[in-house]
Amino acid sequence: MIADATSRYPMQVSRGCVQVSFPSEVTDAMLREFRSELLRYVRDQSADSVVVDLSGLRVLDREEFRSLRATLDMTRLLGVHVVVTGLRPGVVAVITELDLHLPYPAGLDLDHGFDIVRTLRREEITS
Amino acid sequence: MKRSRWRVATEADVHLIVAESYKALEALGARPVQAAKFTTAVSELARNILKYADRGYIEFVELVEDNRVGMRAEVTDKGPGIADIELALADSYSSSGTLGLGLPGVRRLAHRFEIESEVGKGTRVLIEMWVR
Repeated sequence: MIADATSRYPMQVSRGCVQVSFPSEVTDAMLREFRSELLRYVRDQSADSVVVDLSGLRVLDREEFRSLRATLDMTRLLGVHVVVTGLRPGVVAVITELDLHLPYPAGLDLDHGFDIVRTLRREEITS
Repeated sequence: MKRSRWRVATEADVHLIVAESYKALEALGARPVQAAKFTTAVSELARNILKYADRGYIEFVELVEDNRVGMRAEVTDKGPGIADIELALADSYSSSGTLGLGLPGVRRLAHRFEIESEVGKGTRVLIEMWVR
């Protein structure tokens, strides 16, 4: 497992899968920084998948959602599988009430997220 | 009855207000889903101030009535105002995705929602959430 010591956001890679925790209670500038660091790390590690842990998020407004969604979309465009995990019920309720869309597979927790990654890899091989 | 009044002029103000209102709701006994909904609504309204009015205020009031408690947020600004409130509240106009003022979404997140606005004078939005 290789952790990125240069990033202020906890990221590590294991067997081609990057695991990262989305920061909570951060500024818009920090969210942009998070995006560039994640994209760089995924490319540098030649990862094939990313599991984004969102369990730290208690509140997510539309502006923050837009930033998160753009980060995930860009990561997907690098050609890697993207899975989100740990969404809290409050954030899920808000996403639904505000009619926002997060078109990525979601897992209850990290273990579930890694299971989804394995399934996505298998589907890629057989398709 | 507890009250607190906050100025909204910077993004840092918005983050602080969101964190403080979440804490206040938790202290009242709100469930995490209720706290998330109300503080997201507050965040949306505070961001609208920054986008359209430059600066404004949010006043929080703890509500006590019979056997229940709750929180009110009154959001005011002296910005350009909203010319057509009905249109701004129409789902098809501004609720979906991340465009517009997001007022239909804010209305869905709160138990009570009121808005007054006058072009050239400003806007006042009131939202309430009952927690128990």
